[in-house]
Amino acid sequence: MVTVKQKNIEAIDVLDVITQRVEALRQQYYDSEVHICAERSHLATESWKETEGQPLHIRRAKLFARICDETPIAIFGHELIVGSQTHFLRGIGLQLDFNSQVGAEVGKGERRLRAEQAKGVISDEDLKTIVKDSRYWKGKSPAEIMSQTVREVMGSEYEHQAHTNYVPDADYAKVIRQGLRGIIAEIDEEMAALQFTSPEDGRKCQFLRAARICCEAEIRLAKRYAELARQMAAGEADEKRRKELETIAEVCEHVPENPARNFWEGLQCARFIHLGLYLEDANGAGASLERIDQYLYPLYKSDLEQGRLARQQAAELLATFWVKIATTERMPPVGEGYVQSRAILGGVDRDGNDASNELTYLILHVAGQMKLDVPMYLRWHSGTSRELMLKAVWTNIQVGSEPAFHSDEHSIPGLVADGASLEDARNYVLCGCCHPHPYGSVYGTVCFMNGGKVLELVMSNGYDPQTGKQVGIETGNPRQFTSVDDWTNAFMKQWEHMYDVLIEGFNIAELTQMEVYSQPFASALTPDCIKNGLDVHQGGSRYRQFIGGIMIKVYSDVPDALVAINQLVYKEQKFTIKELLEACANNFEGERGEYIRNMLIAAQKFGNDSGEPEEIYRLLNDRTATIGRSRKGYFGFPLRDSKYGGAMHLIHGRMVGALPNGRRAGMPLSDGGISPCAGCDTRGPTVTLRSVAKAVDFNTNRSAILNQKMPKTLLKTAEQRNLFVDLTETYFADYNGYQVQWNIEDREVYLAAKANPAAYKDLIVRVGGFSAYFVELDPVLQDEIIARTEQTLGCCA
Amino acid sequence: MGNKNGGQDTTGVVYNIQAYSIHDGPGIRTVVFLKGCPLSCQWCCNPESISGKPELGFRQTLCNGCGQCIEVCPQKALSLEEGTGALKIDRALCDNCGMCVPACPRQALTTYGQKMKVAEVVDEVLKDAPFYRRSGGGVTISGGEPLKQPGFLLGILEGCRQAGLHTAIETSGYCSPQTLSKVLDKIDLFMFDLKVMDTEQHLALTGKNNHLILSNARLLAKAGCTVQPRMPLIPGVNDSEDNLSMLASFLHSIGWSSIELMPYHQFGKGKYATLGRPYRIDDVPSANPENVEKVSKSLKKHGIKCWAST
Repeated sequence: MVTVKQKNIEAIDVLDVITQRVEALRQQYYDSEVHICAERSHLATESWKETEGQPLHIRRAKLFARICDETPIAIFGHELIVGSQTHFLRGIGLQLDFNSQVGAEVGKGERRLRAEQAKGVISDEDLKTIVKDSRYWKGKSPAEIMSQTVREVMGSEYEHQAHTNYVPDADYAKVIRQGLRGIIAEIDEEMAALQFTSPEDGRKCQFLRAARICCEAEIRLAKRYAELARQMAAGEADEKRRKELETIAEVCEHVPENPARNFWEGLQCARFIHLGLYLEDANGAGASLERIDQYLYPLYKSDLEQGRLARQQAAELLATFWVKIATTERMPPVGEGYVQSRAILGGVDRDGNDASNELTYLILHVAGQMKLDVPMYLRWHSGTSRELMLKAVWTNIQVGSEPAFHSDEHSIPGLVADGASLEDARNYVLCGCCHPHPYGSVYGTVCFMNGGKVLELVMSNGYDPQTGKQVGIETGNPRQFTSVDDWTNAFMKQWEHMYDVLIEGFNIAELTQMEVYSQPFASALTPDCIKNGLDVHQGGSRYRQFIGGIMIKVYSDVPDALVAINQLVYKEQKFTIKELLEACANNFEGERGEYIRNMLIAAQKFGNDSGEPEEIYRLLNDRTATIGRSRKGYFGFPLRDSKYGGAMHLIHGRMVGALPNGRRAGMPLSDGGISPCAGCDTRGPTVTLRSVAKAVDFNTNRSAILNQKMPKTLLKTAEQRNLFVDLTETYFADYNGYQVQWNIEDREVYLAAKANPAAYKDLIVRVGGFSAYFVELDPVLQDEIIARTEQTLGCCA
Repeated sequence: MGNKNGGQDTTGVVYNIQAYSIHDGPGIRTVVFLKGCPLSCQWCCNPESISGKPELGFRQTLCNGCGQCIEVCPQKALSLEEGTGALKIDRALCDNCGMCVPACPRQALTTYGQKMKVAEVVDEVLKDAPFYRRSGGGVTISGGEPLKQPGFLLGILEGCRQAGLHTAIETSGYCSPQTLSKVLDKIDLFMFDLKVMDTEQHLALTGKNNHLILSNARLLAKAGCTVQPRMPLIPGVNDSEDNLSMLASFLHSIGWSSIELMPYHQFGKGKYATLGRPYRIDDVPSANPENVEKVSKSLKKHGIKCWAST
C-alpha cells in the first residue's frame, strides 16, 4: 500500500497540464476529421489471399504482420508519444476480415462512427478499394460464416445478432516489465517442450508459431516508428524538436521489445500494445487500457525519485498519451454497439490493500484538464481515501461524465463466487462498457436481450409488427388478460423463449467463430494462453467462465408500462386494453391517442421509490437472473445476468414500436443497465439510488449500469462535493450498489429546457434552500440560472 | 388539523419533502416543508407555503389550452380567455379541491400541499437514513412556519428522534413561547430568522411585529439551544447600518456571535404567477456579491461573524 503525501497531492493540484505543446495537440485533434482509410483492410485482404490454405492461426498472424510491416505510419507535430492506426491523426481502418458488411455499408454512403455519434470522411480512391475488397470478403468473413451456420442449423427465420469481437484483457504490466522478448522467450520454451505426440501438441504448435509471428511483427512496427523519427530528426531545423524526435527514436527502438526503463518508455509501450490490439481487431469493441495507474507507477516513482522526471514533465507526457488514446476510433457495422478504451484507476491490489498512488491523482488531474473523450473508471472500495474521491469528483465536474465510479465491494465477491482466485478477482478490470473481469480473463462476444421488443411481442401475441413475422411464441391474446400478473407471466414466457433462441444461436455462432477467427497477438498477451497453447477464442485464457454472454436489457420502460396498465386499465378503468393497443399501434396519433399517452406518462414511474414500479421490476429482474443461471454458455458455464450496453438503447429503441409507458415508436429505451427512463426519476438522487437498489439484486447480476444526473450548482463548495462523495459511497456501502456514472448537468441542459419545457418538467433548480422546477421560472430568471452554471470551480476540494 | 396530540395519527399539511438537501443543516438531509405561515414576508420565495391549506398551482408554460380541466371543475372557476385561448383561473371561485389536477394531460396543474399523517412523514424521512448516517445529516423541518402546526411538528420530531436522527428546524421564531418550549428538547439545531430589527418596519414588511420573535430568541439562548441565526439579505430593505447595528447588539445581548446571510433572489417570482398572486417587490434587485460584502464588513465591525449561504 502506498500512502500519498498531502503535499504531493497539492503539488499535482496546481499543475497546469495545458502547456503550449498540449494545447497545440488538442487543437490538432479538434481540427481533424476522422478519415475512413482503406490501408488496413487492403493489407489484410492481400495477405489473406496469399495465405490461402494455411492453418487459421498462421493466416491471422501473417495478416497482422502484414499490417505492422506495411501500413503507412506518421509522427505528427508536437507528439511525444506516437503510434496511429492510419497515416491520419484521426483515422480508422475497417475490419472486412471480420465482417464485410461494414465495407458494403461504407460503399452505400454510411459514415457513422462509434455506433452513432460521429461521422467520418473518405477519399474516392479509398472508397473504391474498400468496396472492391469487401466484395472479396463477401460470404467468407467470419461474421457471415457465423450467421450462415446459425441459419443453417436453426432454420432460416433466425437472424443472429451477435455484436463485437473479443476484447482482450492484455497484460500491459507484463510487457512493460519483460518486453515482448520476454513473451517470445516464454513462447519458445513452450514450443521446445512440445512432444508432437498428440493432436493437442499440433494445435498448440500452430498457435505458438502464430503468437511469435505477431510479437515479432509488433516489435518491427515500433522500429518503423524509430526509423521514421530518426529520418525526421535529420531533417528537423528546430533543435528542440530534433532532440525530441531523437528521444522518440530511442524509445521506439527499445520498447515494446525490451522492458521499459522509464515513464516515457512505459507510456510508449502501453500505446504500442493498445495500437497493436486495435490493428489486429478493428471491430467495435475497444481494448481496455487496464489498470494504468498500477503498471506505470513503478516507472513514475523511480523516475521521480532519481530526479529524471519532474511532475510537470510527467503530466505533459501523460497528456500527449491521452490525445493518442482519444484518437483511436472504431467503426463497427450499423446496428452494433461501440465500446471505447477504458482506463481503470484505484481499487485494491492483489493483497486487498488500497492500490491507489500518486499517479492515480496525476492521471485524474490530466484527464480533468484535457477534457477529452477517454472513458475512465475509478474503482471504489471501503478503504478508498476521501482525498482520492474528491479528486475524482473534481475530474468528473471538469469532464462532465468521467470517471464513473465502480465498487470493488460488489465485484470482487461476485468474481470469486464464479471461480476466480481472490488475488485475480482483486486485480479485476472493467471491459466493454462496464463488465468486471478477473485478471486472466477475456471479454468475449456478447449479444443482447431487448426487453422492449419482448413486451412488444407480448402485445401482439408473438407477432412482430416491425418485421411482419411471427417471431415469438403465442403468449395469449392480451385483450383477454385480466390482471398485471397475466402481463408479467406472458412477458417472462416470451422472454424465456427469446432467450433460449438467442443463447442457442449465440453458442452456435461462437463455437463456429473459434474455427474461423483468431487473435494471436491479443492471445499472446492474455494470461495463460501461451501455457495452454490456445487462442482466446478457443478458451486459452486462465478463466473461461467470464467469456461472452447475454446482455440483459429488460429496460425500465417495461416496468413503467406494466405499472401504467395496472393503474389505468385494471384499477381505474380509464380505457381498455384494446384501446391501449390501438393507441400504441397508431403511435399515439390522433386526439384519443394523445389523451391515452398523456395518462400513461402521468402514471407512476420507476426511480421514485413509490413501491409498485420497483416491485414489478425486481420480479422481472429476479426471474431473468434465474433463467440465465439455468442455461449454459458455449464453454459450459452457467450464465449470469449483466445489465450494461452503451448505445444499445438507441439501436434497440429503433426496432421497437410504441409502448404503454407513453414512449413513441423508434424512440430510445432507458439507458444504462438499470437507469430509470429519461426524466422519469424526479425526486432527487438518494431516492433514485434506493429505488434502483430495490429493483435489482446486485448479487445475482454481474453488472448493472446506472447513469445519473447531478446539477453542477450542487457541487459548488468543498462541503457540497464532500456530501456528493457521501452520496456515492452510501450507494456502494449501504446498498451494495454496483456502479454509478454521474452526468454533471451544465448549461446545455438548461438551454434545452428553456427551449422545450415539456420535455424537462422534472428539471429542478435549487438555489440555497430554495427549490423550484425550472419550467416554473420566468425566462429572465431561467437565463440567470443558465449563467450560474458557468461559474468556474476551484481546484480539488 | 384533526388530532393535535403529536401522535402517529396526527395530520398536517406538507407541501414538499425534499431529499438530498444540502443547504439546510449539516450533512445530507431531507427537508419537510410544512404549509402555513403566520408571516407574509414581501420577499418570500415560497409563496405556496403561506396558506395553511392545499392550493392549486398552474404552470402556464406547460399548458396547451386543451380545456379538459374546465369540464371537471365543480366550481366553474376555470375558463379559456377570449382571444388568447389561455387558461384562466378565477381564484375567488376556486376552492382548491384539486379535481382538475389529474384531468390535465400535461401536468400544467398541480396541487401545492397535501394532508399527511405523522407516521407517513416519518416513514418517508427514514427511507434515506443510510445517507444521513454516512454524511452526518438528518431531517430538517421547514415551512411555512413549522411551529404553526405544533402537534404535527412534535410528532414528526419524536418519530425521527426515536430513530436516532439529527433534527433541525427552520423557523421564523413567530409562535407562542409555550409552543416553543414544548419542542425545545426535540431539536438539535435551530435555524432562526432575524429578518429586520425595527418593530414597525417588521410589521410593514412581514405583516407582524417582532416582539414574539425576539423574546423567543432570548428563550432559546437561555435554554442553551444550538441556534444558527439567519438573515435574509434584501438590498435597500434590511441592509441599512441602523438595522445591522441593532441586530449586532441584540445578538451580543443574548450571547450569539454569528449569522448566516441568505441573499435575496427573485427565483420565487414564477411561483407567484402559478398561484395567480402579485409579486410585491418586483423593483428590488437580487442581492449581489457587493451587497453581501458590505453587510459582512459592517457586521464584522460589530463583532459578528457572518457568511452567505451558497
